[in-house]
Amino acid sequence: MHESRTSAICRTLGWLTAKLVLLLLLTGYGVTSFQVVTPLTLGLLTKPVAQQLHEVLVYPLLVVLVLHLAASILSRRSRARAGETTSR
Amino acid sequence: MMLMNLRPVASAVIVACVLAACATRQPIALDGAEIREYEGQRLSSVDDFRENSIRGPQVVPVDDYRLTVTGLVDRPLRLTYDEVVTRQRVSKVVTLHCVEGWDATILWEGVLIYGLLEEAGVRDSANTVIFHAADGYTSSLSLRFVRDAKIVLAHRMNGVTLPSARGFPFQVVAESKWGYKWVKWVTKVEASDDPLYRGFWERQGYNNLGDFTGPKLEP
Repeated sequence: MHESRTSAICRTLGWLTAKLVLLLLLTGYGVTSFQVVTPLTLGLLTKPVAQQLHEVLVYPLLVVLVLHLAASILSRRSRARAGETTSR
Repeated sequence: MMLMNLRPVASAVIVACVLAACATRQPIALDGAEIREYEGQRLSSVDDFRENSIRGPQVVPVDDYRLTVTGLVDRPLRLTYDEVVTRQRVSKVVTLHCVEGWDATILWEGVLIYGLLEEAGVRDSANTVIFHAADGYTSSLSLRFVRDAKIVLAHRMNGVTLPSARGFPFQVVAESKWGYKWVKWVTKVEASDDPLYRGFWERQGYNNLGDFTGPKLEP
């Protein structure tokens, strides 16, 4: 039960990290290739908006990445421990 | 299962983004060999800039070109390219800092903008200089800053004529300001009494002062 909850958290954090990375890439392109990104986002992601988001997104990405790594390590440990118990 | 299906797509997107960022750019054709070192200082190349203009590089025909100095002046000027470049030249090494995170240090040569304004008889009521470009882009600097910092309207960079992609015929060398203040393809210099005038990017949220040591965006 505990193991499945840890891996669910790990998976959720993994997805969140991936989404934040993609958002970081999109906002980065929103700054450097605004000629393409702004019309593609129907004018929502203008260069200044992309710049603001890009500079702010780094912090949640770092937090989520660290949490994702920690959850992965915990999940592996608990899986290894469960494996040990079963083999005994 | 869903993760398994989307993984190749996500990987492809990331690889495509990295490849697009690494794509090689064609070197710009120049009218001579560019200087890469000046008085012991290493200079960036003409090719070390990113194309980030609002409507792509402009081609300004030199024969039809006129630089107008207008607004709050007593004698508006309408100068040909040759009439501008034959004036007393000023050269200085200045670094352009772009809000996108890159910079380029170049030896710029051109004429003093305040000199042109003085020649046009800039009025005492003027406090702002608005620069208009061939692509409709605008930005402004304070008149005091233009005078005190000896801001240059450049027509040469690294010893070669400014290529079209870099702002031919003229680019504002707005030293110590963010790159969006460095107007390229300048067609009009306007003396104004509106210190709150906002140019193209400033209207969209970039800081109107544009100091590169200050904030990029308006609070």
